[in-house]
Amino acid sequence: MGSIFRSEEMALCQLFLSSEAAYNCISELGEIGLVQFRDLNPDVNAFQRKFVHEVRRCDEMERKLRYLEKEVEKDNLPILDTGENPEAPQPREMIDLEATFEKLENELREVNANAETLRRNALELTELKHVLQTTQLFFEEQETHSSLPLEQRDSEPNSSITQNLLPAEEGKGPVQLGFVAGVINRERMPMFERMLWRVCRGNVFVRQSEIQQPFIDPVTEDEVLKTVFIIFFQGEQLKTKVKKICEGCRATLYPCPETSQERKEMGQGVTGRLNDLTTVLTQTTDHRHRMLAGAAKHLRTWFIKVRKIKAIYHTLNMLNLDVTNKCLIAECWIPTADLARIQGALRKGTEKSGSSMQPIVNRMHTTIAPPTFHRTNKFTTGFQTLIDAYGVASYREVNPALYTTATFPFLFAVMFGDAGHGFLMMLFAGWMVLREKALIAARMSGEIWNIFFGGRYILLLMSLFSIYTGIIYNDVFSRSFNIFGSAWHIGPNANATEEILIEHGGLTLDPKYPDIYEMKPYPVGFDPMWQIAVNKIAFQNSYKMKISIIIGVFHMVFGIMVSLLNHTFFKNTVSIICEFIPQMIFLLSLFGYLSFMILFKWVAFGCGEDFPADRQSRCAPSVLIYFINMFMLKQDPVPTGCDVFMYAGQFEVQIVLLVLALICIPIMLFPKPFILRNRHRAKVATRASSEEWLEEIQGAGSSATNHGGEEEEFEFSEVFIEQTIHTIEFVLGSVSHTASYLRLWALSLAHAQLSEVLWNMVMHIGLAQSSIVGCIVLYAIFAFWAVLTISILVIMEGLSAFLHTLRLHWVEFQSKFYKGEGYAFVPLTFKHIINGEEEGEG
Amino acid sequence: MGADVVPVAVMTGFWAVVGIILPFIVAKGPNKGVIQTMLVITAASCWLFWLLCYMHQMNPLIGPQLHNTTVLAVQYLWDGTVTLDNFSTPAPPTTTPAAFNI
Repeated sequence: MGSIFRSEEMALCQLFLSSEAAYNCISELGEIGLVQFRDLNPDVNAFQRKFVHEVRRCDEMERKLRYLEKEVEKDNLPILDTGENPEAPQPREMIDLEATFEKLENELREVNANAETLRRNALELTELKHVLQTTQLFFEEQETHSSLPLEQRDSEPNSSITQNLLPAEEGKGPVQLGFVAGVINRERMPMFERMLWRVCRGNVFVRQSEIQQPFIDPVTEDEVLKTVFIIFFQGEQLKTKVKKICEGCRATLYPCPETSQERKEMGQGVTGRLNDLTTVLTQTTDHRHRMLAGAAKHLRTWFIKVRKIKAIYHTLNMLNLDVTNKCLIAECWIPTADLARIQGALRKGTEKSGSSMQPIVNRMHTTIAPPTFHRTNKFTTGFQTLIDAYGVASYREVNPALYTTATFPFLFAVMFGDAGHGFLMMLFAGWMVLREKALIAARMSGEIWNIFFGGRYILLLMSLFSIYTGIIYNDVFSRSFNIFGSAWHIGPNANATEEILIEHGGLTLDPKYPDIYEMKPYPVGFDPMWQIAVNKIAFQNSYKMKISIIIGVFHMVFGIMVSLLNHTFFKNTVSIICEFIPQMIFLLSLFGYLSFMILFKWVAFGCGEDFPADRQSRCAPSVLIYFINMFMLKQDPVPTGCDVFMYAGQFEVQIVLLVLALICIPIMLFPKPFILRNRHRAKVATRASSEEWLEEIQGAGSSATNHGGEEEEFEFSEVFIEQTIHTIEFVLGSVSHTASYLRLWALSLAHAQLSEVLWNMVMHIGLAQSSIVGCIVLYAIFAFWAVLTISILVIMEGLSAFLHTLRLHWVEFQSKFYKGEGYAFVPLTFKHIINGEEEGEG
Repeated sequence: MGADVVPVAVMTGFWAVVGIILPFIVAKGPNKGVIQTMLVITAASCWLFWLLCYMHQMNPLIGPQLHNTTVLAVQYLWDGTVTLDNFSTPAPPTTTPAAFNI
């Protein structure tokens, strides 16, 4: 049997590694991924461990790499992934790596700072350019709107705009207007204007113009819209006020020359400087881009190397230094099947480090519970995950995941049971399985996708089984196939005359006539006649309930058989006699008998000439009532001509079975605790007597050489209570679990009905159309039907059936044998570092 | 008994091959145990599932109850005991089957 039948045998080993070789040996062990190290320094603080400095350096390197990665992603450069697996570098190479990263980080920061400064300068120059352009427009407008005669204007081309337009009052002289110009964020403009108006008491004149082109803020890289403004005022006091307000509202002021000639010159100068700046900026960004492209090529390899180093040092922190301070001791769990491989890896590591001391692997015997290791492949991993989600198997107990590979899809299919929906599911699962490699390489994110992709084999099996059960239920998108010809016919005995059909609206076929029922059923699956029958559900309900019980009893008996395997392996004879045998007898004599009655009724009762008068349909009993009466020791009255019992001797047989079952209850309850107590007392007595014997021979004062000195405590009341709980759980559980399997009936009924309703209410309308317009209507209705089919019937019902199947396995099946008290085997492995996951171990 | 030899023999034989003979032939390599277990459990459960359906329909205690239009459709399409000529109605011979919906 493969190793997932039960978990692997684990050995606790001590490794003696020389200090030089330790690093390389652990590196080799990490590549293999089959060794779980135990922490020998659990009380030591993380900051006081031996290799804490190295771990800190690794963390620092990782931080630098993450910064590089962020910058690379900002530039939209692809990070090269060749899939190669670089080995963990030697400790002395770590210094080289650190230097490289340091240099890269510093260069990058410098380049970024330069770029920011250049961008800020460029922003200022652009703003200045806009200010100059806008003020030019303002002043030109003013000149054309001037009220002075044109000749006077022309004759004084250099007259400043700030000259008073109104004739000055006598004795006061011409008044000069001052102005400032600047740029402010568009959002702040209204607030700014209002403040100017209030503070300067309306004595300033503001003109503004919005800049169409948005600016990019050098720090936040957001787009901002700005406005150019120009403020005219009179006098020095207003000037200071205005300047203060501009400062407060964070408007940038720019010096603007008064004459248009100077403005033109300034504008040209600004444009020139701006062009130079843009060139320098482009060169800087190019340099940055080239740097990042070079780094991106090695980024993945560096990440893997650094994470491997960190993992190795975390593991080294778990080791102990021995008394001579020359070698390190490690305690680890290794599967016994892989001991040779581990030794080979250790030899390889020692060779690489050039140390002369050979590593020693010393196998220890211990009473600590080993971890549970199941060697799974890509197919069995899914099922193992499902089982482990409930509880990891105890060490070396039988692994339910092996049987789940077939029973899980089967029970799902009993509940899902539609060949059409199964086919759709098969398409999806088949695509995932066939395109496996490409989909893994694409490394899609999204938790839901990963869940579905991880369960692709489970989905594929579920869909294949669903197609089979759909064929048996004869349900394809709620329609039936008629492949072999129905066994039911409208023969002469049906009296299908026009009068009867009109009067009654229908008729019921009676199976006792050979011309109506062929006496031989439809060969594979449900007869297609039932799909179009009015009383389909009554017939199907009886069928589905019975098969649910029978399948449930089989599943539970199988579970108890697995417990026998466990008892045999652990040499637990007490449990075989006091648990397995009474449990089997109890379950079989009650619910096995129920299944027998179902089968008997199917065979012995029928319509027609082949069956005696007391086995006709009118005499057919209810199996459930018989079962209840078995417990209540009574019989119900029957119609005339019918027998009270199904077969001769039924009453006696039922009494015997009932008594057998009742005897099993005290057998499950009492013997085991007493036997265990007697065993414990015998063990203590022999140990005490052998100690006395030893003391006599060796003289007084020799201490007992018990390894570990573990006194097994035996609390009788605890054991007894545990056994009581176990017994009650089994006895009551047998009833409730058997009934729980009726969910197989419930869900398949719900699925079939939903499917039928969807067809009748949606698709049927489309198919009943009769004109050309009907074709288009059918097209639209099909789309609607298809969406609802996939979303409700495949996805929702699929998830629901999956959940119920999981529950049936976890509770009804596993409670018969599963302890599930183990802990998982978590080896030191570099596999997920190579796959690029963020978590490291340790 | 209402059982017919041929279907029982065919289905039982098929699943017997899958569940008893194939495990010895197909299973090789490291996954031998898993493949064998899967084949056996699949064969057993699928055969059981078919058998239960067959046994339930073998000796039916009730028959299907049909609507009158369904009766006519079955007679026309499956049994062939009714043809369109059988109906003597005053309607012209080109009456569509929709006229028989009562």
